[in-house]
Amino acid sequence: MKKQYFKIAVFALMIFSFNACKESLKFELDKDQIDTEEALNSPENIQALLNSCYDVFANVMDGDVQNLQELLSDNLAAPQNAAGSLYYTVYNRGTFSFRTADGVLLDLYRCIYRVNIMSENLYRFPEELNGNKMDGEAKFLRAWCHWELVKLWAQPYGFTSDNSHPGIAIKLHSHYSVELRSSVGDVYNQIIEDLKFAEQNLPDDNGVYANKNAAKALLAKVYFTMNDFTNAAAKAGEVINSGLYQLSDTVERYIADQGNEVIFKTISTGPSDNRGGSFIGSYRSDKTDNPGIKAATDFKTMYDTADHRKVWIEVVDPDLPSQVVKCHKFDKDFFGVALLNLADMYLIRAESLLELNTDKQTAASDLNAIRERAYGSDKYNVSSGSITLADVRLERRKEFAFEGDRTIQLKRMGAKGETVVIRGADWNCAGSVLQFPASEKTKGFEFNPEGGCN
Amino acid sequence: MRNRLLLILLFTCLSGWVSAQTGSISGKVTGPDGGALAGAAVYAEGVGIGTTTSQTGEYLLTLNPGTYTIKASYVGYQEISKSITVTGNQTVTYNIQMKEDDQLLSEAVVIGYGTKHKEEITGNIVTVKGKEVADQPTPSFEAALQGRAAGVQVTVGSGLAGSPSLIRIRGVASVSSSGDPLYIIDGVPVNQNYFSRGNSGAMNQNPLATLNPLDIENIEILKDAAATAIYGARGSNGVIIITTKRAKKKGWNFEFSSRVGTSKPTYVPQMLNSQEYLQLYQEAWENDGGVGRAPLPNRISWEEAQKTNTDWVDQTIHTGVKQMYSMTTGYKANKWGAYLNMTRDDNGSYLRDNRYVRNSARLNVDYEPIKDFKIQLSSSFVKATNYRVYNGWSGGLGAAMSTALPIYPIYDSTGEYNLSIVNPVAYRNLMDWKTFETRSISSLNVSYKITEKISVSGFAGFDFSNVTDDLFLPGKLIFADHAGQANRDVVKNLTQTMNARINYKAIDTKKQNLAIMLGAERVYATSHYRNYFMDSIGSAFYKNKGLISDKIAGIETGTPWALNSVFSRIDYSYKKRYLVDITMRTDGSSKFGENNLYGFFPAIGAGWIISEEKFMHLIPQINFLKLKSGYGISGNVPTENNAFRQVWIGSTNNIHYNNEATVYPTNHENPDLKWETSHIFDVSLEIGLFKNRITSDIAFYNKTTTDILLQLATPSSTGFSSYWQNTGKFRNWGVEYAITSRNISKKNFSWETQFNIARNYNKVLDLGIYFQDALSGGTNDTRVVVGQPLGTNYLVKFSHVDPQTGQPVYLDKDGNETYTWSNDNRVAVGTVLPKAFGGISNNIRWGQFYLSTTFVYKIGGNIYNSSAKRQNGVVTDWNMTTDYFDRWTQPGDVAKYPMLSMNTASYGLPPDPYQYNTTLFLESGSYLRLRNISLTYTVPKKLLKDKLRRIELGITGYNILTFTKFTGGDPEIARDFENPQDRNMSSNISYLTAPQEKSILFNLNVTL
Repeated sequence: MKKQYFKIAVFALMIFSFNACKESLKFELDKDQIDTEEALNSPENIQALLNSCYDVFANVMDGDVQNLQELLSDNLAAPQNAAGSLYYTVYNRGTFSFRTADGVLLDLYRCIYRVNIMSENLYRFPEELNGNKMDGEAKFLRAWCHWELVKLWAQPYGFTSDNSHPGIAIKLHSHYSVELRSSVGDVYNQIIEDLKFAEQNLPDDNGVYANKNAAKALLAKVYFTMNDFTNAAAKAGEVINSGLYQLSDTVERYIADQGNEVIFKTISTGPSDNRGGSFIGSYRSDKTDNPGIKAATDFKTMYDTADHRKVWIEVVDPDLPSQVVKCHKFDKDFFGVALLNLADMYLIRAESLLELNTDKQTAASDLNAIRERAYGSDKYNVSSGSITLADVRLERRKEFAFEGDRTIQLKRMGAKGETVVIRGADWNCAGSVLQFPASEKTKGFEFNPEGGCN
Repeated sequence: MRNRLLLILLFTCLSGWVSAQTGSISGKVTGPDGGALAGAAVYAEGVGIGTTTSQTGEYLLTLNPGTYTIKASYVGYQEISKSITVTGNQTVTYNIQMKEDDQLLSEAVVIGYGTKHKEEITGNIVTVKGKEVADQPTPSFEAALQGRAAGVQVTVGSGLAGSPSLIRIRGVASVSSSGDPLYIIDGVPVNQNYFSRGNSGAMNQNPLATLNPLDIENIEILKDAAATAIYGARGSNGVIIITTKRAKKKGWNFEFSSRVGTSKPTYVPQMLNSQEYLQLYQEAWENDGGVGRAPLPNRISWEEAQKTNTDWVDQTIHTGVKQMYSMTTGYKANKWGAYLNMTRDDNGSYLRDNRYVRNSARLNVDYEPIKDFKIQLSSSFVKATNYRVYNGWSGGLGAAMSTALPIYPIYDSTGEYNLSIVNPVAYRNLMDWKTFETRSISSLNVSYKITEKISVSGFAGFDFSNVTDDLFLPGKLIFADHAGQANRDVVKNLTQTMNARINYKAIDTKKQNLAIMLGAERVYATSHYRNYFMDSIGSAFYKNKGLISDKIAGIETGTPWALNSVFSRIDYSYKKRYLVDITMRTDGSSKFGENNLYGFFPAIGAGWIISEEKFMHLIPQINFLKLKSGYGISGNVPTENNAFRQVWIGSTNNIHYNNEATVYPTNHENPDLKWETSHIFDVSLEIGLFKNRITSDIAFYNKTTTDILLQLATPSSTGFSSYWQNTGKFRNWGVEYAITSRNISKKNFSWETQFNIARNYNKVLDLGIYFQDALSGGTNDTRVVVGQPLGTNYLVKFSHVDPQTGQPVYLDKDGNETYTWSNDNRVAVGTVLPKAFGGISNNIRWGQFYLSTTFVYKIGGNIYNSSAKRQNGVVTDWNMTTDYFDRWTQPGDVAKYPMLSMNTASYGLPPDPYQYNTTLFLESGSYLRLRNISLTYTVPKKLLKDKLRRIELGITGYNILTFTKFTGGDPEIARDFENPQDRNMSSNISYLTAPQEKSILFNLNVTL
């Protein structure tokens, strides 16, 4: 009998033994995959994580964001009425929970997530990494992503007098949490705080990555959007006066060598690393008369004959029902997108100074710098006595057409109290703000009102 | 050719046996009431010769001259024995009338890790005979379970060959993790990944299609916790145990079966012809204020359109041919037995060029080298080829129902395929798409009875599959200036299971029994995926094996998962009438982190066989009455292997920025991710009346599932699109009723009826902080709404068409009429889950004829015809159905559909015609369907030569009749699901779904 119990005990021990070890429930990840511990265990990996932030940022700024902005403006003709076409819905200012730019929304927040987790782990390598600089780059990208989000998914700064109207969810950490929308005022405060941090911590020269002047230039753009002309003019002036940037000879911005006009651009190393894909995919019209996005008829006469920028526009079947106004600005195989430019700084400063009704001399000189490049002569220059706000605004529309700048300028003017009508609808009609995707719906998250633009 | 050779061989063998100088015993086995007993075992003791009776109860034993003890046995009856002398060339007639056994219902039933007599079971288990499954020409064996067991809801797949069905036991209790039951074949848990090829163009891979239904002896469906808790973490959605056939009869046995038939669709989509299309298109144009002729889609001219009339539906369907040939050999001696089956099943569907061809072999061997030491080998090997065609939203019949307009010609003016459209004919003929599957599910079980009280056993099993999907698209189809592109996806799955068990009969007396089973198990599974791709290639990879190399391969992906478990079952019975079972299982899963690595799943079941009580003798009409109840906990794990931890892409990846490496995370970790837990209560009553002329079963159950594993569509601000989380609470509860009645049981005529019905209630009790749009089934079709069933149709109510303007009138949330469609007005208006479902079977035997019918039905529930919103909505680049004729054309019209328009604004819609999601396209899901009707004729014994035991001829009709009010075609919809969540939530959502097939087949079975 004893022998029998012994047998049972041995058997029982045997069958239970292979369950004892927790290790048998732990497995390696796939090739190319690593776990968090490994991902953050070397300064090289942290650096590569920051590089991935630029990567995701470059991918969403390849025209994805800019095209949405442009579709809400008066610069484009109606895209094709293809069922399920996001561009058609955005153009008609009719986005709703199931047809909206959810991919762009996610990519911008994906970039924010990555910069947050990168910043949170800089402490691991205080010696090996230039933490302040990298944190500056993180804040620069985070501010930019928040800014693009608030421009697309919220009414502009100034829509309410205290800017208490709903903005977007601000995300400042990498933990899993469901955030509600902050007010537009709070979003802009956060953007400025981040950019000021970036300005202080970024070096003058940072290779192709964000540097101090990039932070200043972005601050100028943000202040300008807020109609804060004093700060906008000041920051634009600092960039201009740095002497580091000069306008290039050509009006073409989407070419490989733009000289040192560009303050910050995304990097494209070849056709298989194209960072201008969405621009090219939508506008390219050297091989077709039916591009996805076509220019508004205004552009038939936008540029006079002497204007070098006229080459951007071609009209097919003029005045016929089949008329198409094509935009050739992006007819390239690949390019990195020039996102911050000296030309923009000139026009920001010029318009800001005019709004402030001060230093018209500088304003005229700034505008003339752009015009001289566009016409190749000073024949079309304006004097400080004759320069008007309309001159600068028209120049801005001409210079940055199709680059995603137009809508926010119109909305900004509307928020300032001017009468602005975009394609027959008030600048602040509900549908001119994109709707959030249905997946955003959690308790307390406020959705945008819809419609009202048509 | 191979089949013909087999036949020649078979008949050569036959002619040899016929010439032997033997005698025989023949007769008929009947029940106490004189009714024939089919399937009763009759054998000559000690010589290894035996048979089973035919449908008419007849048998024939061929024996050498001598005296034999002939025995007859049948479940539920006493064994009969008689000595009979046989002389050469003579047939002795011996008719046997069986008597009922005292131990009624004592069939052996397979339970988790063991067997039990039926009356000893406290859990809710239904047995389906293999024959009931094998006789049905379903696309895959699991479809044949429909209507067979109360509470087991089967939605049969589409008409595509080998398409997967959807099985839900007692409702849906999971959302993002799999809601499918666990399948166990001869002890091996089967890999059931329907998404091994991802969301694959409306054609999910069906992992169950490789199983040969002819190999199935029995299927046990475990429904409640008392039955499923022994499978712990995997038992939450029920367990289906499949036992394959083994050698039963002594000596040699041979059987040849064949089936040949045709396949047609149950419904032919009614699309507009060219003239009708142009008329309606022009009408829409004019309604929108257009002048002159409408510019036609694809810039086609009116002249060209008018002279073209392509019937694309007809171009994609035909009468498919099905053929199945099977050969079974069995041998059983004292110490060993073997079962060998080889089957070729060529299952052609009604979609042109679509077939599923399966060649399968099974070898099951039993060996007992020394007394009480048993070795059981179960092995199968399958090679299958799926000849695929585009379907659903990717093309084929789906295109014929949508973008392939009747005004488009098949060929252009040069005689080449018209490739300015998704041309179903061009794609079918030019592309080459095949899926090759190799699969083996095999196991070895060794058991040893150490003493009368103690036995031990060890088990090792594996499920291996290699699914290679080869797609070739010639350059012409992809508008490339090279020969073409080939794509190969290879998925290799291997699931290994090892377990050891010890059984101890602690008490084994007449009065009391106490048995303890203790076991431990490890399941280890890997799934590796690799993609191969090549441009400038002239044909598919299977024709260019030399070109396949690492150079053209993607990275191999796939992390393993494992489950380590210990389990125990304690069975106690007192006087064989009071029963208690206690089951416990602890599972450790690699799919969870340190915080929740282990889960404990206990259950208790109790039974009271009331009919054994003395007082029950006062009611002699009730011969069996049993009350049983169980309560327990079972669980579920996520489908993702690494949802609990953050997975990063390391610097060796190919994604660079500025030529520098990148490292980035792919998900949010959730270290607290834990087991989805179901608390299941069940109470049921089994009753046998009039000596089991009527048996019935009624059950009530309640299943509350908490910590539901949800892959939530999370707010973008989290940085990721989804996140695995345990959130929310569901409840499933319901009643089931099944009854079997032997209506007539006469010598030459018997009639048996089976009926079952189940009503399941499903309610979402809580969803945490998330709203309904955080969880959707597939393409925005169904939702999870608190207070409503899972898979709720959440739509804007369509009121009517305004007779004056022709505009659609919707209802807002408060029921007020409005011309404007708005997301905010969506309400819970229906559910894809039926109110009740079940089956009615009748089996009638009359002389040599046997007629069997199975009706299946569904009462209530909705179908959402998601493609109709585009076919019969805003006029776009889709064809319309003839149903659209019922539209508003002038003031005063009362019509089903609004005026035709190409403008979303005319319908008050946002600028997107996809969004016309309204109750206009929500229909009743009720149907009654004659799933199966078969007539079999058994050739009388007297016409057969000596060794020929039985010949059966039959004709089977499948899906012959369907009664439904659904306007969109087939009312049973298991469509192109996108992921497990979609499988749980979107049955009955039709989107260009190919209707099921209607088949007629001829059968021949010959037994030697």
